[in-house]
Amino acid sequence: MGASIALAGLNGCMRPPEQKIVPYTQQPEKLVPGRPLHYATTIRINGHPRGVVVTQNEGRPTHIAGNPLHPLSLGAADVWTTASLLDLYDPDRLQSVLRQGSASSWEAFEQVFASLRDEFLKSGGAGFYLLTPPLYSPTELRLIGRILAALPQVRWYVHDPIDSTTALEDRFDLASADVIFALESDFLYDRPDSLALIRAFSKRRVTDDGKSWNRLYVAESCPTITGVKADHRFVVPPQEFDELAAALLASLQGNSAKDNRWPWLDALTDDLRHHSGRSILMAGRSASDFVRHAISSANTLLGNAGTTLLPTVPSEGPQPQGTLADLVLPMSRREVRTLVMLGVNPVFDAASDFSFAELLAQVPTSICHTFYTNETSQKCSWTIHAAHDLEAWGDTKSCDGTLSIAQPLIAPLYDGKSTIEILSLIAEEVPRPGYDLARETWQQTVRDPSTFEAEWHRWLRDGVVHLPSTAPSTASFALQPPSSSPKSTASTNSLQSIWLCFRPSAAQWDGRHANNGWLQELPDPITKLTWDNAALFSPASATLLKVKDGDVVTLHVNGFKIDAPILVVPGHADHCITLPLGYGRIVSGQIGTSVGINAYLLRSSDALWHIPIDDIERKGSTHPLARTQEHFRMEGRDLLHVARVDNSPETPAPPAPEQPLPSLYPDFKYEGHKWALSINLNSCVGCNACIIACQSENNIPVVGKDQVLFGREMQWIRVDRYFQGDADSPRTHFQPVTCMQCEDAPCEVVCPVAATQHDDEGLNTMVYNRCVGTRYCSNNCPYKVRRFNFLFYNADIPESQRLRLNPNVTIRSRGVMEKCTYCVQRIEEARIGALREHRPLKGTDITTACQAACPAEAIVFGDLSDPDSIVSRNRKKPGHYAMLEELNTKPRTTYLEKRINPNPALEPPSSASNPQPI
Amino acid sequence: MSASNTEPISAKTGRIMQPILRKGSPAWWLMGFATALLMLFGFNVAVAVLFYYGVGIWGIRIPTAWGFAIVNFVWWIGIGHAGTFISAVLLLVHQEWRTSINRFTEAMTLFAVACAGLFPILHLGRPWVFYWLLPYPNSMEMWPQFRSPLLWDVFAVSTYATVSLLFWYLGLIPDLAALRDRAPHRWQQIIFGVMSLGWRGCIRHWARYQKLYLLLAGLATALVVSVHSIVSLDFAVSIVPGWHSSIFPPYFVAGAIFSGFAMVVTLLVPLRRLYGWEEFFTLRHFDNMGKILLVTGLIVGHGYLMETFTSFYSGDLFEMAMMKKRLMGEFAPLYWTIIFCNVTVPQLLWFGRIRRNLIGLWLIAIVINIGMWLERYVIVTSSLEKDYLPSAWRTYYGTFWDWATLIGSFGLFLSLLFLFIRLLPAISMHEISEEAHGKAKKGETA
Repeated sequence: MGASIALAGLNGCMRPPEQKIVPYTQQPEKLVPGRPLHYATTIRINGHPRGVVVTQNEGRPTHIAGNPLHPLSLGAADVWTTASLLDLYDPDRLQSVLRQGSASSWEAFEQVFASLRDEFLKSGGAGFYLLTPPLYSPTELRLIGRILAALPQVRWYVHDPIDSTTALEDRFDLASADVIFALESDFLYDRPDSLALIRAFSKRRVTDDGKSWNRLYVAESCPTITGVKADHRFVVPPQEFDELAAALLASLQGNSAKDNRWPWLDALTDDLRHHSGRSILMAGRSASDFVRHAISSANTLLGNAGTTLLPTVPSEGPQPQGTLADLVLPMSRREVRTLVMLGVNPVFDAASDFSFAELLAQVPTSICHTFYTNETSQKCSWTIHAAHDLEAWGDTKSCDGTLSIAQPLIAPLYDGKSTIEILSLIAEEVPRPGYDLARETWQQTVRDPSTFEAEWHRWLRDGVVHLPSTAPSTASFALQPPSSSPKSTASTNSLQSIWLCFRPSAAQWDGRHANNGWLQELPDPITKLTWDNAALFSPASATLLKVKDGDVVTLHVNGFKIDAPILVVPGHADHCITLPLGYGRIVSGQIGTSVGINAYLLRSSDALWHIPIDDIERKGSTHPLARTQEHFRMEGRDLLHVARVDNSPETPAPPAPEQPLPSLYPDFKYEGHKWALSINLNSCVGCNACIIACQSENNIPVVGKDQVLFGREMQWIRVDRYFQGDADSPRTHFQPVTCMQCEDAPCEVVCPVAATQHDDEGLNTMVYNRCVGTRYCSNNCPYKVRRFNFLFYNADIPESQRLRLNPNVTIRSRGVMEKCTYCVQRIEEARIGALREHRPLKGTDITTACQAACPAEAIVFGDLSDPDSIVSRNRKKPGHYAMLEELNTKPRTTYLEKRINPNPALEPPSSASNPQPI
Repeated sequence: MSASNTEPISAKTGRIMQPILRKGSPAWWLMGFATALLMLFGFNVAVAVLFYYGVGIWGIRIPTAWGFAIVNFVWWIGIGHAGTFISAVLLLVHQEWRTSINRFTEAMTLFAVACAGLFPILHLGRPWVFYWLLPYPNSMEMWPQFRSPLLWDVFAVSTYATVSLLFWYLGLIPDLAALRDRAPHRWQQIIFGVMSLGWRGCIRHWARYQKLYLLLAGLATALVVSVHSIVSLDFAVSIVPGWHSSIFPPYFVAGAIFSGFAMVVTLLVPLRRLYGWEEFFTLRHFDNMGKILLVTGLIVGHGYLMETFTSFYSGDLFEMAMMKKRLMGEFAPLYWTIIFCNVTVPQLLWFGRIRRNLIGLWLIAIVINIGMWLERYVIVTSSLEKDYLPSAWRTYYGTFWDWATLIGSFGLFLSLLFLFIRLLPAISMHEISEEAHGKAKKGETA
């Protein structure tokens, strides 16, 4: 034993590494060590801009939050936006130019490219092909125009595996929509303007009296957060989408044909018609042309154009020659002599029938501009390392037409090049730096050049460009005229085969975020699966095939086959299987390689979203699936209150205790603030933004799949998800859970070393230095919000990632407990600010990271000792409750119940008197 | 017995001393000790790996943040109850038959407590600061947190270990002096001489010795009850359904004595055979121990019954859900194994023939040992696995290192035990003599 202790002692005495500290010889302007700076900029997420405000500590970007001035961000940030910070410092990102896979230099490339360019100049660019994602940046488009002017024979194609349709042309005004019908559309999650849509949607669902509430109907095959949020969710397999759209349109036109598959159709049509001009129908990106046509016809019929359906934003600048499908032909004809690919990965994500990798091998010179080494770059003659959006100048246009400028927050860590710099290299004799390129674009927009500098600085400060309104002279809508007899493409016997549906995954999207540990460990909102994708089955299909979670099946599609583990998802449609895209990367960094299965292998260019499965066979093996939540029912426990807008309870609510329950300990006395958090379950859409924001703010480590399998994920805030009702079509609920900061905290009394303490403002603080790691506090926490460093998860933070860390939050060592602190560092920062300005500290001075990121404004932090604060007022609202109130822990985090607004014609209120068991 | 009455007392003590003073060791001892050392080596490896990587090598997780380490702790400390119970309680109630087994069981207690005491330290996230649980003056000006049952544990276990050690050593002193006097080698004489603290066997020594021995016995008796009561409070004080129960202290104490006696039987049966000590460990001993096993087993069974009853009688949703999970849920196979091991099998002890059949008794004791370990496993893990929030529910299982540490701790226990029977008198010689004298006297007067 003595030896054991001696060993422990050695381990305990770790000294920090000795480092040289060099002081500034010239103090940079505005830089005060310890005081962060905030800059507005724009970063591109999945190809579309997000307005952000970046926190910068001593020159290092340390947190990304939403820009309140940007109309599509409104201060909120989705998971990818916040997580993009991790990419910036990723040690696995490409750090130099590669020639045939081995390190080269930018100068060498420039030299080679210059001679190549001279050659092409002679032929006008014939044989020079450019492949990019869809471009929305004015400067990028301007440079493409210049390339096409200088080299008229250059061919430009765009490729995006997800947004390959024109679905994003639709724009909605949800603020004025009373009735919403979404067909297979996850508009609260997967659109570039989802943050703004969530805000507008939830704003219409907050009044207590049920007035001015909207009503959402969703018909979908696989549960999405939009479906979860719906007042009526209809499970429809993709085979029936065309017929459903036709029936809906016919019904709206007055030709109601009873179809027992959709008994709810008449009620829906009545509701839509009743709200003509104040309703909206939408179809997701996977919708067929037929569905799209029918939906837009319906919108026209209902007179929604111009009210809830907004005019499309006209695209400007040069138009690409086509998409990847059009590039395949010249490639197979060997007409492509030089292919420049900017920020695309077609070898991984192109439809399998293109055999893009083989075509690429035939191209003499292929140049790939990419942030990470990927499947495509590995096969290219040249790979140029891209700059992160926080390292480069640029500009973008959002899908609503908002223009914004991207400014670098840090000099390129590895001298990576931005897209515009590459385009400039092609377009111009002498390539110019991004700063000049971006400024040049914007100088042209200002009438009076003398005002440019002032305007430029204002745009940079706000993160949004204010230009005189350039509303399109003629409003154009993504609409077709109502057609009386649309032709359905679906065969009538379609249900005989099982279909495979693809969708972008909730965390990985198309696969580009593979090496981002935060996103890999982010649980899927519905399945709570991390570090994997799986073939999602309905409970009935799983029973039919005699498979259970984790069983591996082989899916045969069109002569291709893959092995996929299966996961049963209550509420999934029968006769179809959903396979999220974006996993199974073969060439990525240490984190992203070989995680999950590559669904692109089964995707073909003529069926990007739905394809019939030829055969499914059980393999007999199993694959461990790491989920952060394994039990989905509430087991009759009073955890989550659901009511209708008319206040009739949807879940059995137990009678609230009449008087305060007795307590052994005297109440704490507070002289100053009493911090509290209020979570509005009614607003929450379960988008996970809070989880990643918290992870970034609080230096929370990624633990890896094997640790998640052990139940050791470290995220301080989690979103619990429960299913209510029958498994085929359950009602689903989300519940974000932070530390409850209990008044009578069970964790505090059991700690033998007083490492978790009640502070004088009611926070249940965790003293890491004092913690010896008995874990008794976690056992005694009824909410199970405590997280333990079972291993030294922070031991090997790569050198570059250390720059990312929030300097105000301790890095926890192994063997200590941690948990949500209500962002105590932000409270202290606000307190110092108030002290400096000689004013009292107010609850509104503080925004927790989860609150800031939340697009639905569901999380509110505040001061209970201020009776006018939102948290105090929320506590007096009728739907207010504390989780597990009967334990008398007196939580500071409390909830406002979830409300639903069902159509009385579909769910008569009488059924509410018999609330469904949960 | 009749034969032994006629032979001189010194012949008996000689047979006890013989294994200690003899040259060389018997083959069974060498093999047994080597096996124990090998297991101890495994334990050291497991602990080294644990200290290097952290408790994450075990299967503990959120929500089951306690696992094998706490199960092993409770189990070992339970075993550590029999020795003191035999030495102190049976001394106070004048059960003379205890005389020949008390020394060995006390040693077993000490070694079991040593194993038990290791686990709470090993289980800490940061074991190198375990001393923060002790109230000592320090520059941090921090006291431990006195409301925590874990702190009570520290006091209870350390007091118990100290008193047990003193009690055991005190009883050894006259025997050490006897060894000093008989030892053939100078170095043995010196070692035993130092250890016997100048014992000369004069009447004043004996008078003081007996007073102190009785006092310590009284103190130890209270501790037998207190230690496992306090250990049970680790669970009972929490709000975890399945732990939060006022029945725990008596139920744990009974369980501790139950498992302790089972371990005594498990060890004494082979020892008796190997040393040929049938005259010391008589069938009467085993018969009596069988009776104690039966009684404590019935108390434990009553505890199971009451625990189940109160769960359902409470009407508490969480308690009932927990009990249902044990009775007919995923823990049912384990739970009913426990009932079989700890309630059903001990009913055989109603029969005197079985109590005096050493093989039968030995098998029953082993079944009880396993049953009691499983009982603690179910209490610790089943309650944590599924408490209040279904979203946090997760299944617990131990890893390779969990099992390695458990099995390794047997290595520590057995190594100490083998050393003990080789180096020190496993039977109290002076008490045997005393008993024989007493009997002889009684015979004279009669």
